[in-house]
Amino acid sequence: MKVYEALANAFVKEGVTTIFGLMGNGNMYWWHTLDQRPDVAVHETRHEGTALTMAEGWARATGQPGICTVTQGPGLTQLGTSLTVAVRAKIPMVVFAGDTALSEHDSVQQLDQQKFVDATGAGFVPLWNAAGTDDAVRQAFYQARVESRPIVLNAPMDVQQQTYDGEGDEYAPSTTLLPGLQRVQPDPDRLRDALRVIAESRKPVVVAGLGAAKADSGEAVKKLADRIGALIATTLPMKGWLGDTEYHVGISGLYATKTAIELFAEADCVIGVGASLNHYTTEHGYIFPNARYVQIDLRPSIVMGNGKRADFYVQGDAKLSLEVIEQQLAQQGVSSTGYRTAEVRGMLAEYDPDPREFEIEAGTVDPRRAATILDDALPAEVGVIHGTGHCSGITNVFMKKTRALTWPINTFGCIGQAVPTAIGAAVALNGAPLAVMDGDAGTLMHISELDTAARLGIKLLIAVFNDEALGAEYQKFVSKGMETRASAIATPNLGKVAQALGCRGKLATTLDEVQAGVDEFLAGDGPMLLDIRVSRNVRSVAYSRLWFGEDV
Amino acid sequence: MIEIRERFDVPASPERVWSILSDPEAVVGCVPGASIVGREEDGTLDTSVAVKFGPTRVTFRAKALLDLDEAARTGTISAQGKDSIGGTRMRSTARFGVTPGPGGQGSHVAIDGTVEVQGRLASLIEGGASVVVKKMAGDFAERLAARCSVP
Repeated sequence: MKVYEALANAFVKEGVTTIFGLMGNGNMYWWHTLDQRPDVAVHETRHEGTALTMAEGWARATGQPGICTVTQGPGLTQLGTSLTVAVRAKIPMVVFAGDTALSEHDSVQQLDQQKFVDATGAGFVPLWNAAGTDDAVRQAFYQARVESRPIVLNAPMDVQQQTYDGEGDEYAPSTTLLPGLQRVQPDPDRLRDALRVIAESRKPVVVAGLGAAKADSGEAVKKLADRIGALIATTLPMKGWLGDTEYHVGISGLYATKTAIELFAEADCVIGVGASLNHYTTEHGYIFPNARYVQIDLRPSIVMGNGKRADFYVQGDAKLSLEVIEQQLAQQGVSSTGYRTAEVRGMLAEYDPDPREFEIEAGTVDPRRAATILDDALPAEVGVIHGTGHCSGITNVFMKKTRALTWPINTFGCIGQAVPTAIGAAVALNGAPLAVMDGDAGTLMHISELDTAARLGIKLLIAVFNDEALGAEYQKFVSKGMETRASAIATPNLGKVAQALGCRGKLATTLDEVQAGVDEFLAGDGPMLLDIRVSRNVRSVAYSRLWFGEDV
Repeated sequence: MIEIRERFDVPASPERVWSILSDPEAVVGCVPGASIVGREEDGTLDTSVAVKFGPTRVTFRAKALLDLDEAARTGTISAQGKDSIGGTRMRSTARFGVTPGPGGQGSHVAIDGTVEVQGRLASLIEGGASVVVKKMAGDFAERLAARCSVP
């Protein structure tokens, strides 16, 4: 057996079933071995960066390590942005990367691959010789699972061709090294302090982050919030979590509603649950000017977005900690109305996220109305992924339905990630429909992946909020009274581009056409792109606050 | 750095306008959201200014000093301070002057100044701060005019 075959075997033993990659001579033999197996699907993409992002989307949807493969040198360097995104998003992944032969230092594709990977924040496991094959794969998967980040397994071509001394049946996967999940009990002394502040609070807000869902603490959050009369808010990545709960005010941060911000100003206690309470969530602390902070998290310490530690920090499992707090409050007979009054309920019910009126240019639609049509037409079981750009400030605010899956993709602040993330997620969803909302520049950056989407046959709606501009920059130019031409770039009819690449495609210049487009997507099969021409005059609430100082 | 440049006419005599502009209490009363909370021996004023950046309200505590040239009817107000949460500092200076209005009717007021915001808030308010400051300057002019018209 060759080393590349043993490597392939070890990946299978790690439970790998789905791989995204772009073939080159550094990964082709390993790829070929896996492709022979009926239980493994290796999906060829049109760019290495998108392969990694699809694997990231797949990993987000399944909770399993996402697998990507690239060839050496230029194959690896194409990963720069995607790898950094996956690191920031803390997604467990293993990247099988070829490398030039150890014996060959003058290859045109030679690169110090570790230096490149180090710069992204991903881990790096080198394979030096045949004897280290099993250990290297196990190490890569172990680190990916434990550190929850991408790990690059670096396999030089000559080592891959060496003879592996074994049959491959003795490989023990990394999961055998894991002790299994443990729930970390909070320190009783810390709990007592936190309890006192929570009991004293008249206006508490619970802010839930990714850690809250990871700990499966939804019911515990609701129960505590009920007892103390708290508002429930989430961080942006947790948009929609517990969304059907009464007194849920949506996102905390720049995407918060005006009503939420007014209510937050009265808060005297913020309880962060599995949320770092960074400067986005707390607006550097300014969104909660009068609150003391209780923070429950697994990390040993956290500096919040206001540059301080929480007044009362509890290290422990979110669910356990919340349950103990709620039980002890119950024993003490603490129960408070807090925010839960008819007046607040009325404020939340009557809320209009953006009552402003704008002049809509001919041949375009109001993107807020388009987002609402999409939200209404797509049933709750259809997941929605939001991209990054000016349009995401509109889709995140106007698509309010609580869904099976809601992912705002904004971990590195870059455009171009949402569509490949959605393609990978759609593969994981195994035929269930999915939709992604992104801008024209973000979609066009990797438009070639519509070919991959078509080959995969996934049921994915790509709704493009097309303002024919780099919308964020366009709005900033407007705010400064500058000429906008440099930011405005005409696009072709993206519906026709999608058709040429094997997908369904439609152009929508009226709200009726938006509705018809969604209906057509739902009724048919396979991927579809809906090119929605949107008005540039409709400025998102977030940008209106940031760049125009508007009180909206 | 945000620049302030306001030019406006007030239907009151230069003496009347100057009497307002040279009175710290009256000047602060014309700044929306501002109040005097204390006074030091050297004449420095402890002021509080609440500013709304979008829907988010931020309260600054600033020390302000008024330097007047009675004869020329010009003055400088300089203020510096930080917000109540402590993450942001502000520094501002403004020169103002009162001259007779066009055709000898009423008064003409000119204000030129700068506002600097540094720290955590700076990234949050981005370009919006200049809009907010310009609006405050406009409100100041309106309030000053209204105050001067009351005998």
